[in-house]
Amino acid sequence: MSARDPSSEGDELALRLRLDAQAGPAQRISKDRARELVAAAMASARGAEVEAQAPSRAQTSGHWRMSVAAAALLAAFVSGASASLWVWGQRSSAPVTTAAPTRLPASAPRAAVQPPTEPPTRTSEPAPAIPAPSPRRAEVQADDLLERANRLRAEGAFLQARDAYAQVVRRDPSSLSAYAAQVAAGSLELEHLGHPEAARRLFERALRSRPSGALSLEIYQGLAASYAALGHERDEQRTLERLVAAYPDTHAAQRAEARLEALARRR
Amino acid sequence: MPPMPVRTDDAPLPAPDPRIARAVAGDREALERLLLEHLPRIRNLVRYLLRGDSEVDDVAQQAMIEIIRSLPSYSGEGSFKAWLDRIAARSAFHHIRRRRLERKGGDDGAPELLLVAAEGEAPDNYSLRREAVRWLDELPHEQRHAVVLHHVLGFSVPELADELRLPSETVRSRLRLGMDKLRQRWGREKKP
Repeated sequence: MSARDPSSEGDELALRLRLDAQAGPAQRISKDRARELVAAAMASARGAEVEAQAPSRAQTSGHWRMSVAAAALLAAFVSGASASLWVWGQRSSAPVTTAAPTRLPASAPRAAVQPPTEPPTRTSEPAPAIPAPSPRRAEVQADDLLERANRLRAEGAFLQARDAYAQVVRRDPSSLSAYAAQVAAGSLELEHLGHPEAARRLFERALRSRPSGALSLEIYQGLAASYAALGHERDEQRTLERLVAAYPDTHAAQRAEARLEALARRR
Repeated sequence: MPPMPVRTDDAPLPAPDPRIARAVAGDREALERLLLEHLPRIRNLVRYLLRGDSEVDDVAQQAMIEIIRSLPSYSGEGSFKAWLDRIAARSAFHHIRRRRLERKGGDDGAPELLLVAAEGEAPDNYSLRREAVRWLDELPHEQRHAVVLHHVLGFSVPELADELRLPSETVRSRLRLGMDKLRQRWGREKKP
């Protein structure tokens, strides 16, 4: 095949439909914004590696190995690039016209997000009294906590990591870090601590908080695996069907379809 | 929604960019430079396929993640740009499918400010492309995708028919209808 040269059409219109690295038709963005997008993508991809290196004490059944990849990944770059992932996670409907990453305004309804969190870790005492931080400060703190939690998880300190994830959610429940922490904690409960019911609740909360969030695929996988571990085949089936519908071209969908066939044969 | 077509280039290919091998070997700087260089093309292709601007960066970011993950599988035998295009288009189609499921129709992005050239000043390429893509935004998805794959990515009708698993006549019809609408739109714009 040879690429067709639009100019051979003798059509000025076709000349406008060129694909190259020049400006347009995508909106112009600044170099900083481009760097943020690239950094966020690299951090996301790197998250999978972080996950692959994490030790696993209790493997859950079979068809799913949670990649909190995407969650761990959120920690991997919390400092600089979280802003762009914030945009990514929010899927803002507003066009991105500014160079700087967009954050929720300070007046965003943080209180509307469900409270933390899961599970009430090993202490039952109330959360330490934390002076109400400014929204921006809270985000930074939540990012730092998430990074720490992921580090603990990677080191195999799972109980401490669980506490740290819970802290992230308490600190700034509406943040992207809290969303990621819930997903990461869900995988921790499922994969390493053997608590599928706690995992299920965490995944469901994360999904409710951002139904089209950046970690939806991981959530569906985790939910399905939690249901499987709990023996809730109907729920597992429904979750896998949602995964396949939402992410049809992925390896995860292929695995989900194989699992669905196995479930169907069982009946 | 069409599956992602696979294309090959007949033109002689330059030697593979050494940064690709370095990036696969874990050189983060090489990977970053590679992505930064190709990001504009990725964003442009995504914009050609998506209606509106609001989700272009989301999808471009997802495409880059796929590119990073798939990089070790790039054999170096085909054009790297064509390989990137394929992944970016696949990401866009996947996103559109998801959006359709979520919204059952839908969206089309928020309105945006139009670029207007100053009086007496010829519009630049950017303005012309932005104008053209807004006309694309008015086409049905099927016609739009046929037009973009044919006129932007250079697929022939038989290749499109093969890859989209559609009769050639259907592909030709979509192309004809899509281009007719674009030309009409263009004609209206040109009238004083």
